[in-house]
Amino acid sequence: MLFPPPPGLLILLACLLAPPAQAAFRASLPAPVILAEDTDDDGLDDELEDQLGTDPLSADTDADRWNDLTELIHGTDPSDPTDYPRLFESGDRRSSSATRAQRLRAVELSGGAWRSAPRAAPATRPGSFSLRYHYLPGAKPDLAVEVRRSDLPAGSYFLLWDHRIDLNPLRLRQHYVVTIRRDDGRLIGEWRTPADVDEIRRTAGVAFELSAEDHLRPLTVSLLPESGPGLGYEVRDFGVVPAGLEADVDRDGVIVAGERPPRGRALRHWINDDDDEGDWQSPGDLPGRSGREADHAQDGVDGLRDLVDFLPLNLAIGSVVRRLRPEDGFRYVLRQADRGVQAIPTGLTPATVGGLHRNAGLAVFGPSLDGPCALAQVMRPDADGAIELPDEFLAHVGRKDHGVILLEGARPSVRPVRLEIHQHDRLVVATEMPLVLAPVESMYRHVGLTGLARTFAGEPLAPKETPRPTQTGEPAGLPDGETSARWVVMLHGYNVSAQAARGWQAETFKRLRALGSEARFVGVTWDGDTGLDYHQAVFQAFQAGDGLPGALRFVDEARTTLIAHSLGNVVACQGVQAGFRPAHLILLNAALPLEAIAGESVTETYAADMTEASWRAYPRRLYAADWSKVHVHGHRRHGYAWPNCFFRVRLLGDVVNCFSAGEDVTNCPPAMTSASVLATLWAGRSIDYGVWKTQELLKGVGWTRSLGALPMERSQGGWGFNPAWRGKFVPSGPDRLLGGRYELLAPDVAARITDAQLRTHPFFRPFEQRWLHVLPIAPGSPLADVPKMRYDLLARGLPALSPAAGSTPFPPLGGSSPVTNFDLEIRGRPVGGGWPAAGHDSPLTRGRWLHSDFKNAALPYVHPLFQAVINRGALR
Amino acid sequence: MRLSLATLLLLARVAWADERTIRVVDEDGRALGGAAVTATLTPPDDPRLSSTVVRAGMTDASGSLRFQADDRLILTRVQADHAGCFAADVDHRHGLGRLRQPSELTLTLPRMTHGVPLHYREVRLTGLPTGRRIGFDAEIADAVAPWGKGRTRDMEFELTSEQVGWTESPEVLAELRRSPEGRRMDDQEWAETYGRFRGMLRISLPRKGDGLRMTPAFWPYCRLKMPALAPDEGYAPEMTLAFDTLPTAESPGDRHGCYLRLRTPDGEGPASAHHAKIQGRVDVGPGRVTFRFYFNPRAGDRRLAADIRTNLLQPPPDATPAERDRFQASEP
Repeated sequence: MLFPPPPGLLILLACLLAPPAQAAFRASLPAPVILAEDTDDDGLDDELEDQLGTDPLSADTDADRWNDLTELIHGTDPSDPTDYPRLFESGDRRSSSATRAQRLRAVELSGGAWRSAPRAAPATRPGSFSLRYHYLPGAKPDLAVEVRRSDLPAGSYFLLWDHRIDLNPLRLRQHYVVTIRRDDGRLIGEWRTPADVDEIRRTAGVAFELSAEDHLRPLTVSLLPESGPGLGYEVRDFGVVPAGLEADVDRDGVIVAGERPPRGRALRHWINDDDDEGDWQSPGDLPGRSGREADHAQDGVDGLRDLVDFLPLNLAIGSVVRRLRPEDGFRYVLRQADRGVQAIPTGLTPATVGGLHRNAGLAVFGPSLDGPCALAQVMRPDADGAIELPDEFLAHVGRKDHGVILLEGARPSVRPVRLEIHQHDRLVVATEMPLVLAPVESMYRHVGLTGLARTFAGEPLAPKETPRPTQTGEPAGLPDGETSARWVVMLHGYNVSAQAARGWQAETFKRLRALGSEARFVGVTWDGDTGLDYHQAVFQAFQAGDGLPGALRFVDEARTTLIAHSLGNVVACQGVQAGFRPAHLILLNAALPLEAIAGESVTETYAADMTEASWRAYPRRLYAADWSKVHVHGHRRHGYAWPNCFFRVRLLGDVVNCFSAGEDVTNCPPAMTSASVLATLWAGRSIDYGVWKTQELLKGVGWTRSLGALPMERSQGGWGFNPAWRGKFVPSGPDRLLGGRYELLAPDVAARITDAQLRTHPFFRPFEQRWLHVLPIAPGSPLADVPKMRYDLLARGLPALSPAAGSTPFPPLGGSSPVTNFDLEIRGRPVGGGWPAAGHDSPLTRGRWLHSDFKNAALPYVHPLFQAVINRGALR
Repeated sequence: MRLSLATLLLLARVAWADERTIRVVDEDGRALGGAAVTATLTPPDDPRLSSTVVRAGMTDASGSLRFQADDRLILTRVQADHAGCFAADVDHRHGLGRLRQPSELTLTLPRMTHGVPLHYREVRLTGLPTGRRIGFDAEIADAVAPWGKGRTRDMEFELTSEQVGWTESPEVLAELRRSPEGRRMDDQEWAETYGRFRGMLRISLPRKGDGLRMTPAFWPYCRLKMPALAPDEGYAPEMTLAFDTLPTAESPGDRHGCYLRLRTPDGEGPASAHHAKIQGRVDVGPGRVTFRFYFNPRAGDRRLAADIRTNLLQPPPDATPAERDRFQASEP
């Protein structure tokens, strides 16, 4: 039996609820409805009352003077007399019966096709929905609309409808309320007429969200008139469509439908206030810049490096855009009340947002959304924080069903970003994504070790720059409760000032975070900024390492991944020697010799190449590197050697040596045999290939043989010769009057020097602390354990005889050694992913992974390295 | 005859220059004309990138690029590229950058090939007893129980080793032994950590028709290291590798490799067998064997260049992150 159009002041012309898959808002047709049996005439059919546990023979099961249907609409319990709607507490509609109630069942939709509901079908079974009209009791009965449906999966939705008042010449106010409730009564969404319903047909809507708990759960959507003059108005096209804002919350590179932060949490991102440029850059990572220096002040994307600072947000509003078309006067506005965000439209899809950090050839920008990032245009908010989305982008959204924009943080804020749809000047519906924008340095901890540095004389060294203060408490920008309780500690390398260290830390944090790390991050600043005196930096690295365990007492070592770059590895490894035992140690382009971890045996392979040219004819026992061996056991000088210097590292649980054979700094070219005069002209920072080997070859040679030794504070040991062991005098002329020079001692003669002689009169240039060559050091002597003495010798006087781990893989180590190698050039970058040309313009460096490329190359070029670190440390 | 200063300088320059030749061939040894070659030379002991000298050009019909360069200049890097072939990038790992160099260098560029999905694992067998045959299941690339989770004895490893000394001096060993870590180790672990060992690894294939053979070529400077197709002959039922843990390998890796024919069906011959390869060296130590293993699950398919994006062998769910890493092939 077809139900006739309902009489009454409220005329519902059409109520169609289309399922999400059908992209709602079809033409408004009156739905055919079927009358079912309702013995007590309370608006709930008998079958449903059986399911609900209410009395099919009583319109008011709990006798609280509210009929059962009204209670259900309001989410109160029709079986509990103490639980009843409060809405009309004082109104005259309070009634115990529904005298004019009519109960209807609409057709049900299942599997995408309309069909009549089987008589016995439960109204709330999964995948179904039903529509009911119900006249509220009273002198002027209004019609309530109730929709029950259980076919909605978890996700975000808009409930949309059109309304207008028939005739209202006196401008009387007419309000109603729309609610969405779960079957347990919990309110999911509510809408109240924000302004009077007037004579112009307008679209209204309410956004609501269904969590996983609400997936396919029975819901009741109801429209209830509120008290008013009872003017007739029209509501039509009442429907639910999937719509909302989605983000890659777990940062796995894919936005799945409905992906939003868990209830009570917000998306967190940092302000783009560094100064990136291009796809490779050395400086620029320092955060906290202001004015035009900060990237958010730029009009576009500053190259691939800048992309890590953007946060993709999917506008899942394709159905809405097709219904509420811009050409019909609907405007789409992104708003953030604090003007904290800027936006860039892209052609990314929810399935490909990961390309932002993984695809160096990304072409999703510009007017046609298919250009490189150079074409990206940043949309800035107006004075009200509103960014109006362009029609072209909305057309793209309508066609594709999605539209990914990149958000860029411009200032701190804890207020959500809202998507608003306006019809002319009135807000139709809005949805929002909770968002916290914070300075990146407020998202992680910082430890300063700069106060530990001492000169050899023990004088404290004032840092050249004031470092960021130590902060070990919970970061305000990323509370611990939103992390995985794993830790990442990052140590920078040599020649990094306290301010530059902030950039290294920020960039490393961002890259890990953008690829999914949920770990707590700690940046460590140590005093490695020693100008041209690299040896002093090594000396200070040892000292910083000693301070590491104490400074990191607040982290859980067993859940910590320690990442060290370049000379930071001496800090890290000395920290391990001093008692810090991270679960994972990542050596990144490590500026430390293999033998420090692998032991003496590794030098057999490499010693010939690492020996200074003048020394190659002499036996190794004369080398400063092997001086410790001429001492009898108990003289306590055995610690004065690089081999096994960090032996505890090879006994950790997991050590990964990330090396690059093509890198510039720790590369040890076999043909480099001396720190020649030529080399010295470009000493220190200006040497741009084989720097690490150069400084090893500089040890002990003194400025007379290499000007490169000039900036080194203490020239001792190493490849210098002890003038006491000189060869024959060669006059410059026929007699000595014209002077001359002493030859070096012939190798076969030098080989006959005994160990006892070498202890007191080494063949190499004697150490600055001459007592090392004289005094016997008894076990227990305080002289034996002076750390600074050992550090001084390792840094300045004892050359390594193996190459740096940063350019060379470790050989297989014995036992159950956890040391594995990770070839950055093969595994650290994507196959066929391209490589930046900038910064790699020499024929020697073209296409190679250079010393600091993990940070300098844009993330899309190096993301496999960071992904590997995340996987290794279980940082997700 | 009067010579200008410029001419004299030019003559002097020519007198000091060497002719160098870089020859490019395909994997069958045929000359590759038209290959783009870039040779980078550096003066010794000069750490400036700006000092590098580049000679670039195309190879002639004989596959050669000849150029003059100051005899003091050291060939440090050579890149060669030819359409349809894997490119070569040769550097100090492959013998360049040394003071003494031959005047001619021959590079082989293998034909470009598309990888196929294979089973891949970097196999690490540890705790192996000496003198016992340990079965190895090629399909899951693991030892047969109780040393692994394998079930089929496709291969057998028999490891014998003896300690011949220590890697460190007695004084250093004494100090290490006194450390907390040293004190925690039992004698066997201590010996395996700091001992020097010599021994033999015998790899045998028990099934009739199965065998293994060394690769006929190895190109350490190309992405594809070994011929894409397993040879169809030359397999032997066993192979013995001698090892000495000292001196340590310069680069764990890349001078060796072998092919394996496995699971030859009874009575059907090698055409229906499975094929596998070990790419790079087999690292052997006391109680441990490590190698990179590829297995083609399709019987009769000799293609062994891997599609590194698709490993048909997945790590077990309980694998540690380090173990998971060993399922990530990085070379085809």
